[in-house]
Amino acid sequence: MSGSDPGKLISKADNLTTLSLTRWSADWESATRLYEQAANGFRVSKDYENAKLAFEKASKGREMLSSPWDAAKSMESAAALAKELRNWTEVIDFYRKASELYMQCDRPQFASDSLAKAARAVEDALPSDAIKLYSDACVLLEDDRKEQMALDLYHAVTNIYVKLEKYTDAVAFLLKLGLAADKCNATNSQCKAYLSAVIVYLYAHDLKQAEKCYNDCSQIDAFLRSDQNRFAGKLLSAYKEGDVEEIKRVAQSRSITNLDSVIIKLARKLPTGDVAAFKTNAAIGEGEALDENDLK
Amino acid sequence: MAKSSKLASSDVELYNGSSSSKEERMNAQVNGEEDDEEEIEAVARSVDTFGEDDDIVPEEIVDDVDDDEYNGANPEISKREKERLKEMQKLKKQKIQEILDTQNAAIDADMVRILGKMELASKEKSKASAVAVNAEIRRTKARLLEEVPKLQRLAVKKVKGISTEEMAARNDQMSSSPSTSSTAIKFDSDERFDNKYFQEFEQSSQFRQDYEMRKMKQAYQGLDMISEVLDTLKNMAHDMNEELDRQVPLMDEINTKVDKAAADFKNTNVRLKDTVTQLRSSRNFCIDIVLLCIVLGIAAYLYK
Repeated sequence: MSGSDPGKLISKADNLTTLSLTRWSADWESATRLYEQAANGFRVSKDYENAKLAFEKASKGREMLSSPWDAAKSMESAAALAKELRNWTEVIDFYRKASELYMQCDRPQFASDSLAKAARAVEDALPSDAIKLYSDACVLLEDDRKEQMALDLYHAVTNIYVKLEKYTDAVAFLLKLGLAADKCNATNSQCKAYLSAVIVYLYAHDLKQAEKCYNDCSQIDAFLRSDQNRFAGKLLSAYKEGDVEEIKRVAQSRSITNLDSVIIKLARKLPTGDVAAFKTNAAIGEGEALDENDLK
Repeated sequence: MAKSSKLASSDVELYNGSSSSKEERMNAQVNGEEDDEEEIEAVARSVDTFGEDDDIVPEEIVDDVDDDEYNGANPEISKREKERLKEMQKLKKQKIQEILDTQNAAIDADMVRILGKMELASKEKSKASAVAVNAEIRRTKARLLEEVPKLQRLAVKKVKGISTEEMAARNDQMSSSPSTSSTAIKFDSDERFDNKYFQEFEQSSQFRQDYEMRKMKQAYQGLDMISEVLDTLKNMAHDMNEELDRQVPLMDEINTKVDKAAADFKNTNVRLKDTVTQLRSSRNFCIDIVLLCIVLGIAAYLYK
């Protein structure tokens, strides 16, 4: 059986599943077995298109046999082969189907895993779809109260947003990361997430937002007591003074090297744009503050 | 040529004219970018006016002399005297012209030198040389300013054909321009001075700081390295902590699942044992053996 031509196996299995006058009920078990054999044969001979089809059919057979777990596994194999063929829409479809099947098995982790795999596969080609897939995966994990697994996914989403230069969205996800880390008491990740958020705002040359973000994050005890907090404070004060050298020096310090690689790249490129404008604004602001104090 | 004269005229505006002749020239330049030849003509005109004014004085003297001589001498003598006086007047004119020329030349030279110095000063990067150049500029300006009242008085006396309003205007111009020019220059030089001064002071203090830091660094270089390593270790430890935290619930799940599987196994084993025991009970076993013997006996009988 194993030595026979995969094509023959496929046709045989098709015969078994198609209903006709002589066959009143499809024999899914043997058909599925044949499909799987054929798929393996095709994969070995690097005929990815046919292998993918065979895995698809095998998965359908498994579903008919009420074993969603095996169906999901076959679907994932099909999706992997679709990735080889660079057929991104099919990749997304197959992985989504697999995740649904996993959810039927009541295994949300695997479901989110398959969505994450899908996102990773298409993140270069279809970044917006990848973001959607990552978010869905994070939602699945959070529903299952496994936020820790979601941290990596949040990092991945942030990286995609930074690549797409959508900095506010990136910061939003970093803050979500912080929230997830807070829920599972991962204080180090939380502080790193907040620091990364401040850095992303500064890279987008939005000092006001960066300060607001920093103030918000300072409300959290864990962040307040951390090294990352001190570092963020130093960076913001260097920006307010408009001191380019100071900014560069602060950005080279150790706290940065512990962050995600994408964020490190952003930090090394600071400061973007003209910090002198911040300096004058800051000076005016401080002047007004002093006057108020004098009046008091 | 036009450019240089433009530059000269703009700078000349800063540096006030120190004589009315100068002013005339300045006005001429400011108005029309005239050539040097026209300058010379203007100077000659002013000199002529001076000469004309001077003629009055010797004429007065001549008149006095004439009066004296006329009282007791011949008309011929007076004629000779008149000729001599004329010669003297000519000489005087020439001398005055020479003096004025030299004066103007000196002022010109000063102006040119000052202009050159100004250009130098603007190009000068070093603080000390800028200070020196500016000091020299100020000295020359002061000297020229000193000459202004002298020439002003001369102008009032000697210059003819200029209305009083124009004189007043010129005086105003002269008095106004020094203030602006001096403030302009002072502002520039001071600004440069202050900035450079502060810069250099910062530089020197920075240098001192660097030196001290380098000294400390040499002593505490080991500590710096240790702190870096500790930072990395701390970060790694934190990440490991979080990873382990992540693994804990998974391990718990595995534990539960394995426990369940083990219980299942136990259950299955017991049931299997029961079945096998049931199957392989001694009674059944004896019956099996007896039946087997009978079958063998029958077979032997048939084949025998």
